[in-house]
Amino acid sequence: MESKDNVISEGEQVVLWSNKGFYMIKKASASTSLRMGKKKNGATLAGLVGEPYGSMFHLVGSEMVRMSSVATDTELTEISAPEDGVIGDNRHIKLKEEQTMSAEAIQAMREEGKPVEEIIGQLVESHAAYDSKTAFSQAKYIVKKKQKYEYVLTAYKATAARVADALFDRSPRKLCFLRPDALAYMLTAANVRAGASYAIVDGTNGLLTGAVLERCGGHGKVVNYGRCASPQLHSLSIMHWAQGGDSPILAPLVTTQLEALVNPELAAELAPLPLAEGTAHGLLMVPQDDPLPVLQAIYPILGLGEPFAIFFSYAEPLVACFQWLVETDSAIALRLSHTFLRPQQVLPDRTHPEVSFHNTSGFVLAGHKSMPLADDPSAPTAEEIAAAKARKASMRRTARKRQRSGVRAAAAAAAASPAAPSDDDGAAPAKRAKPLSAE
Amino acid sequence: MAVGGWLAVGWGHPSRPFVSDHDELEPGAGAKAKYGDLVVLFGGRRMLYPIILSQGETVHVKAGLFHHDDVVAKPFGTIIRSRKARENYLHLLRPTPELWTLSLPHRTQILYTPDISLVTSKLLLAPGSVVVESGTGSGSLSHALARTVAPGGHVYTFEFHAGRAATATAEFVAHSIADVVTCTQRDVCAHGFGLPGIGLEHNYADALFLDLPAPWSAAAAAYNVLKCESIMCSFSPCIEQVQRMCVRLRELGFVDIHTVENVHMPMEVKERQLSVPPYLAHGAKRAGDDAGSDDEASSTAPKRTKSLDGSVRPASHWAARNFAKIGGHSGYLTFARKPVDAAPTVPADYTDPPLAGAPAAATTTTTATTTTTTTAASSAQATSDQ
Repeated sequence: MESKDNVISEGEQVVLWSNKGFYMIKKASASTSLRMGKKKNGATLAGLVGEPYGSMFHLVGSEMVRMSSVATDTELTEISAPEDGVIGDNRHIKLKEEQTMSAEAIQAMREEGKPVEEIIGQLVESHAAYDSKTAFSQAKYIVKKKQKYEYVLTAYKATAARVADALFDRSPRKLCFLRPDALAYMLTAANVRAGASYAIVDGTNGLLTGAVLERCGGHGKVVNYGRCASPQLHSLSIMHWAQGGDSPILAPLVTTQLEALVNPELAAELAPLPLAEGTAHGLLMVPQDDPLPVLQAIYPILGLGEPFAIFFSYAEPLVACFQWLVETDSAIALRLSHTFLRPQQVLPDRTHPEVSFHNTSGFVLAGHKSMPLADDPSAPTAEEIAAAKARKASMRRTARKRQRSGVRAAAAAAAASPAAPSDDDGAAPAKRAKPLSAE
Repeated sequence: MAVGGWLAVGWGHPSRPFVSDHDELEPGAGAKAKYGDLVVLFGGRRMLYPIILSQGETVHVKAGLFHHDDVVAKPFGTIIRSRKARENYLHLLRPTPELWTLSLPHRTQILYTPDISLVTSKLLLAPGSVVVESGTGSGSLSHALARTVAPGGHVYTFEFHAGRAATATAEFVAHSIADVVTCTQRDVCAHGFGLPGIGLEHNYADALFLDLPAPWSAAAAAYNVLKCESIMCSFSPCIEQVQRMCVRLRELGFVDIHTVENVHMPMEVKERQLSVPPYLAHGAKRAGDDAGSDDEASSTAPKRTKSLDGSVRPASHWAARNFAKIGGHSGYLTFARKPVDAAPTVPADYTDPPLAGAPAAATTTTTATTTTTTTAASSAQATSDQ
């Protein structure tokens, strides 16, 4: 039933989510050893090979063994509000840590290879204050202990979005702090799709290039403008489709040097350049350097009317880009933005925003390249503009004149027929008519 | 016929004008608008006008009267002027799903680009993906999904309102994406996605998106239509809806259930004049007095002032700050994964257990009476879509 593509094969890079709350990217192989904290726990990833992606594995002895991935976190969700509406409180809570089991005893149980349930059972039994806790905090206690003494990994296929999550979790600095949701926004803002050509400045070791390639699905042209002759594309090589090295999804990739855009000698050396001026259907930049000079160098490559998205973890350098684009009148629909992405804890009767979360997405400057007004061949001449101004002024004058004569006519009408249609508003026009007739 | 489409690169490519499933790239530069093209005339954030170019037609907007004939043969990104008042202009743009989202005729509340981005990314969409959506609404998300899953993928979108379904279908045809998007009129809460003959098979979809008033009544259907190890997303403006949905998702055996709120923070970027008070200026001179030469002190040169330590302060700064007032809440996005070793479908005798405070029962009973007519209508719809 499962296609081979969905099964973890030997030596493949896999995105692993640990129940300790972090991501790893590791090779599924007997030679990959795992650590718990600073110590090696003796286990390897041999147990992952041959199992489908999305499976969960737990540590049994010194092996990672596949377990059921169905509903493992039910402790907290199964607690609903008691029917009498009394949730319980902490008036009798004992203030001191009442765990009588020693750390050594716990360690001994773990070394004996006792199952986690048994260890937790012991912990609960020897916890003097456990019964004084509310049902919810009892459940929380068990969840916490499970997290501490269990070792569970979920194995995900290394797609661009998963790799972005994992890399950002492990080392955001290597991605120039490009948060995965900012990457997602760039991909839509620059209208990334199959069959188009994209110019890319990639300070993320290939993550951005990989994400664009994945959305192109093997159709189009993805040009990476590197800082040097051999750009770092390590993150790209993690993608599950890139690991063989001959995937059709990699076919659109072309690497060249940014310098060739400004250095004619290098351009001649690297000729033919992959994209001529004004031919890219989109521009995506996560520069390691000051974005403005990079933008100035690469902007001519972008086609007229086509979208671009530039990421930087600080706003000010993008403000400089914004200023340049406005002053050269070369972009429209310009917008600088960031994202407040707030995770929520959703539990029956206990829903609230998460207490701690990542607070800065970085900034994205997006827009469409446009023709400067000064370059418009159909622009009106100075005389035409003057004529237009004169026309407008005369229209205003006519409007004023009409208004005045209208009032005069109304006054005349009022004067001609003193017994106006209605007596109640007859006084008002007469009043207004006075100064006019005196003229 | 129509060109300038959403997925288009090979505009005017004779076999498939909109979906680029070929590797030959048309040049980006000099691509020109033609009669029958859908184009966007852009005059600002709230001045976007999508028009289908036809001979002799005009469009009258805030910026003036514009002739379609003036747009034809113009390259994208250039300036289109009003004939009468030549100083009035708009920019010509090739439509993207994002521009369409900003300019489409609203029939419902729509999903905007920040949420669309997150959904597309978290659902792991790429060319070839099969994605199911309900409801279609105004088709804002449908266009973006179609762009991402083409070529090779498909968007199956379900809408219970007959009028909206018909309009959306007509739009997909006009935009030449009807081979990537299929809109079916059906109440998925009552009938699911997988009615035999006219629906999708079980375990068919790579991803699924729900934007429904009572998403929990479609959760079991969602479970059935999804492949194992696929992700679904439910969009709800109210936290009460989210809460009920999460209860139902857990009951059904979904895992990795998590909810986020995605607030897009646009920034105001402006050139601001910042003055140095005369008594704090270097030597207490006036701005421009100490510029060095007389030429620089001319009235057109930007005025600069030295602060007390002698450093030159520019008279104006480009600076950014958050907009004072923004659309602060669109909805909560709840993501859930159907686990790899889950049962492929919910048990045949499964019925939704009651949810605390949920008005789900009402939906089911009212629609039950009209089942036959709806089914017939959807059947006709499905046939016409083939």
